[in-house]
Amino acid sequence: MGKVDFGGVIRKACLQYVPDARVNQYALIHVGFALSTIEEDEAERTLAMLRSIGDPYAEWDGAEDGAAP
Amino acid sequence: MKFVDEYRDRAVAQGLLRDIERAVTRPWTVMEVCGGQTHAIVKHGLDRLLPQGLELVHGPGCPVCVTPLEMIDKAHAIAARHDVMFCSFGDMLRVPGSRHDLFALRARGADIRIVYSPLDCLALARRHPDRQVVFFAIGFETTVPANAMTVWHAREMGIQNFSVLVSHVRVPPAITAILQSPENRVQGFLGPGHVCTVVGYREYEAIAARYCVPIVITGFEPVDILAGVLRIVEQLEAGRAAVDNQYSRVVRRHGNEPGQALMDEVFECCDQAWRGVGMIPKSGYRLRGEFRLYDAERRFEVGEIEMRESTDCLSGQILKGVKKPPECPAFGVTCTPRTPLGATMVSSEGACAAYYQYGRHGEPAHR
Repeated sequence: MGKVDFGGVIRKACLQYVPDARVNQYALIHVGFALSTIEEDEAERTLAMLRSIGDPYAEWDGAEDGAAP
Repeated sequence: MKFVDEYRDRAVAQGLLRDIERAVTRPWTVMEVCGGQTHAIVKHGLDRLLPQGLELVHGPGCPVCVTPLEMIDKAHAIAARHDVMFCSFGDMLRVPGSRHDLFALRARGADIRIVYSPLDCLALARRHPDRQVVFFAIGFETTVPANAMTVWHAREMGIQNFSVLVSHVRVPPAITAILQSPENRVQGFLGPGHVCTVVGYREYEAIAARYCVPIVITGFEPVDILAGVLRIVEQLEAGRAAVDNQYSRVVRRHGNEPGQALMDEVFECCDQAWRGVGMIPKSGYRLRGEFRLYDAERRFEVGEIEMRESTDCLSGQILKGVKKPPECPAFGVTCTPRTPLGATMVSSEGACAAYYQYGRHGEPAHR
């Protein structure tokens, strides 16, 4: 069993299914069991990709002032 | 919270919506399998932000909703016994059986407890050696490793006054049943992120290939869901049908292998009835022979169960994605979360409860 911080609330969780989990890692917990640790690099990569899609100025720079592509 | 707030970012969501709008050239119907995704979609109004003709239909992924009435009635029969301490997750307590729900039984004096984890039941069993502690082990693949570990520990620790009433379900056979149904209109699936955390998505690759249907394993925040929808639409528009993993920060292709190993040791596949849907081959789990000692159905003689299902409830069609909650005449009239006719109005993952909670009564079912 390990201690898990749920945004300020500390509860115990069974870590037997995540043998590679390390202190300070983020994990997915379901009914008191850790089922996966969060791949921080993967999460950052996904976010960077999504942000590049979500950049509200990316398309408007050209489109709004009618500049030639 | 880290890895949650970023996936609720408004600018990112708006960018994804613009890309979806650009990608779509004709109508498509996409099903989100998991009830957690349904709630996120309805809560954030994501279905209303999508371009006209791109429809999200809600799937069967609500564990409480698909637990067969026979099992609910058996749970009630066991929970009513004087020697039993009956333990369950909270959302099962208001699910209607043929005659009443667990809350009503508790009001009449039955010893019914809400637990946070099945492991809590082992602590209760040790503290109350004179009582029979029974856990209602329901749910999709996500919950099976927890129950497997609990039963396994009960045996290791020699705890004899503990048993489980098992009603577990598997997603892939349900998706297959939906695709084989003549009334099916689903063309792509947002796959269940937490189920795949446990079992991975190799089984989904065979389904995508066989039925030519794209499946994108998807998370539960609004940005996750929109990113999943975008990936599905891109595949549909390009005529591709593959499995893609949007939720890669949590889900690996092979899933959680230690979890699968213990699931396999304790449980085996079986045919399973789904409430409102019917029997689906190989869609459930039961305890293996060497763990049957912990099977509450065997331990307690519950006798003949005479079942009565409400005739006004359309939850079967709602769970299959054929109808939406506002199409049900009882929705919000005779059926509300306080007086539910079916489990879809009760659970935190039920589609009817989501529509009711987020003020969708009286709106047209189709745009």
